[in-house]
Amino acid sequence: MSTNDPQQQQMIRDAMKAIAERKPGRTKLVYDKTKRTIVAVAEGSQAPRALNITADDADMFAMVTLSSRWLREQWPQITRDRMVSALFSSWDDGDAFTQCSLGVQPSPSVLQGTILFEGTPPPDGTQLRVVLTPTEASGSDPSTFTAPDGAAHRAVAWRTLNNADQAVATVFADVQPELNIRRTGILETTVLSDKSVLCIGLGTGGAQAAIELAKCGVGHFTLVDRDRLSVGNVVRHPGGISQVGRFKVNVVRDLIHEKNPDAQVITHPIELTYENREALRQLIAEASVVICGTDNRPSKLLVNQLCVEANVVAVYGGAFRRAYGGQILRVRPKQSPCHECFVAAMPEEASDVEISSSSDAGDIAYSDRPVAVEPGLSLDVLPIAIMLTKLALLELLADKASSLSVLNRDFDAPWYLWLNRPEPGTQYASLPPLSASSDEMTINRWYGIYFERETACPVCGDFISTIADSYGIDLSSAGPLRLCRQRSNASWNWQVTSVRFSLRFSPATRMWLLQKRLMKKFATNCGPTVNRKMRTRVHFSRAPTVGAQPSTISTMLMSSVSWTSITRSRPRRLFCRGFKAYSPGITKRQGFKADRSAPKGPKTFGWTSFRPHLCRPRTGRCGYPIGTPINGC
Amino acid sequence: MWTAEQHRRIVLEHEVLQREGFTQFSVYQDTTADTYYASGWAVSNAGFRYGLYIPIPSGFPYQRPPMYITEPLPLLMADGTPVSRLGVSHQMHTLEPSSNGMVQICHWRDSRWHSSILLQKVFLKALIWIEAYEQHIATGRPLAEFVRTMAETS
Repeated sequence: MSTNDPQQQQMIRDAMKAIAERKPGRTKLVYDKTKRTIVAVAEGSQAPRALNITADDADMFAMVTLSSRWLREQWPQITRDRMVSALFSSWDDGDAFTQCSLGVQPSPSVLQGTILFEGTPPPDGTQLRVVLTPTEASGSDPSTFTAPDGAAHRAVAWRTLNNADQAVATVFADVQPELNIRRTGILETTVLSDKSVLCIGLGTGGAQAAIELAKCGVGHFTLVDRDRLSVGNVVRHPGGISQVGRFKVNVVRDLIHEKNPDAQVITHPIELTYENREALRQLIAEASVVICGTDNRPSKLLVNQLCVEANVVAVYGGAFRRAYGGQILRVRPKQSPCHECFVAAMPEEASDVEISSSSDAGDIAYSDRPVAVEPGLSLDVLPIAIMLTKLALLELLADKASSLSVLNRDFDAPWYLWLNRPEPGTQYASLPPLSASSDEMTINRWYGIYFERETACPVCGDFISTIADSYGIDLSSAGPLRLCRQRSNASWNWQVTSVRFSLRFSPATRMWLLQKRLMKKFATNCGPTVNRKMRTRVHFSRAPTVGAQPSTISTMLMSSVSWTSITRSRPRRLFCRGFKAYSPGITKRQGFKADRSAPKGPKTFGWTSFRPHLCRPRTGRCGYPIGTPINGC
Repeated sequence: MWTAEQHRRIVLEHEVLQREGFTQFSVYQDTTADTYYASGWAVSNAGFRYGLYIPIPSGFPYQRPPMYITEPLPLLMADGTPVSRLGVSHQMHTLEPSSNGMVQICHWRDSRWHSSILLQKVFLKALIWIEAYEQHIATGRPLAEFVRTMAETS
């Protein structure tokens, strides 16, 4: 109860004190509306115009919440020292004091508290003290704590405010048993505590699924995501604005611990690439179920390959663009179609992904044709996340009896489709209205869709034999592959140190350049000046490393020259008069053998000419195709 | 580094190339670096030669192999500027060029690639790209006008 009326506040404090000090069963507190105050009356007496306030209503008032498990762990110390200190988060202007160790996210305001036995003087500076008084055992009283030695203690907290002590109700929280009680009957308490879930991709859907599984009691999580939480994520992601900048794996880890403090969470802020596949393979091998919430195909196919290899069930979820709908694919290796089968069977559906960030857009866009970032609403993604969780949960419970087992007959399809709206421009644009449809496809329904495994699937089938048979190839008799071709000196990594250019302009252009004293930069990666003879030497401050034939080095250098800064005309011809290059020695280059005859040290190469222009555009007189740049044309 | 399955797949790729008339292309093995690559010369309808090079990535066939044009180098556009300077371009259907300026053809985007695609199809798309490139050189119009955005097929 929160109020700004000092009289009301004082009245509530008095009531709290009365509640804290009263002996159960003899009196009860009532709020007398006529007197506008709280009074104590005998149990059983009638107070027709009064609002009864019982001890169960104490949580309406300020209260202290203390961890039973923590106190049990500290019991040897408290019996020895007669006290133990603890930190308390102060919430809502002192309306609630929650022991910091209960959760991972403390309040901005933290109080120093002391738990002590009755009669023990508190240390100086104590802002909140919880006094333990021996009492008769009472299993149901939340303010009673049963010590490891079996003795019961009743707790009353006192805080000092304006040099006066105020009593605050105390509640002991035995977190895990109380959480388990809420799942009893559906999940049979600790049935999931030994299960391990690997969550790959912690966007809106993946993070929500992980948190929902934590609420269900899953005991082990491994989280993989390389991204950090950004401000834009907050409108969809369970993480809040105060978490911005943190790795999503850490944000979700804390959210999981807020829901299931005993969960073991391992985080890996790594990118999902083929370079990391060995680490990922290890993580998958240790998982009971994999939830893949990534939004790009390469990562899904990588996870698919590794999960099929490891024979681990994977559930893939994703929203369509602008989250007009979504789909979930559940892959039971070698039993149901894998993601590769899905891509082969339904390529367009498999390609319809949400563009929720500039990174996603960049993955599918060309630089000259950007793709708009059009994320969907959180409320459109959540149904997919919930279904993702449910399918993962069924897989986790596959070998255990539970009340959810009856769902196995309903959720036996490999692919599930959900539509939030009849999105214009899609095949679902003309869906009938929800109210007018009886057996037609509509929005806001899950559809389980069946399709077969691909026998020639490269992941779960026998692609190689099938293709070899179809082409009439006998792989057992196929000869060895050719070894790589050797190139004479292509294995040298030349570091070009300087280049001499000659520019040949038309006479008119040359005069114009000289008149303008155009001594300006004309190259993108170097800073040459043009002298009166139109010759220049370019010194590279950072020498480009060029692994190629010396004859092609000059052409590559030419290609780096920008003509845009010469405003009047392009030169007719550009000559690379020569260049100095430095070979640091023998280096291996992919695809080529190292050549031990490669020289060390600097070497000057002679003239090489190169036409910057295409060969007489649109005439082709030289016989080469129009515009084809060929050396020695 | 390479699994037996990957090795079988690479041998299959080579055999399919030879069996389907793409004999100008081969898959090579570099035993010193334990790498594979496919390369060869493509000859356009007009009779001009282009060097094609596919370094096979360690995640093949699940990882998309890049396709580079090694010759001519630099490959120029109709206006004389190198194609590689465009980077990732829809107009020219190119992806990130190599460090030494070799043009990477966009045969399949990462978001469309899957492991059922054979290298033969990759080379086939490169041949289509080359024909479109020559049309671009002849007309100055963007290459994309001659190549429809390729619908996904397996």
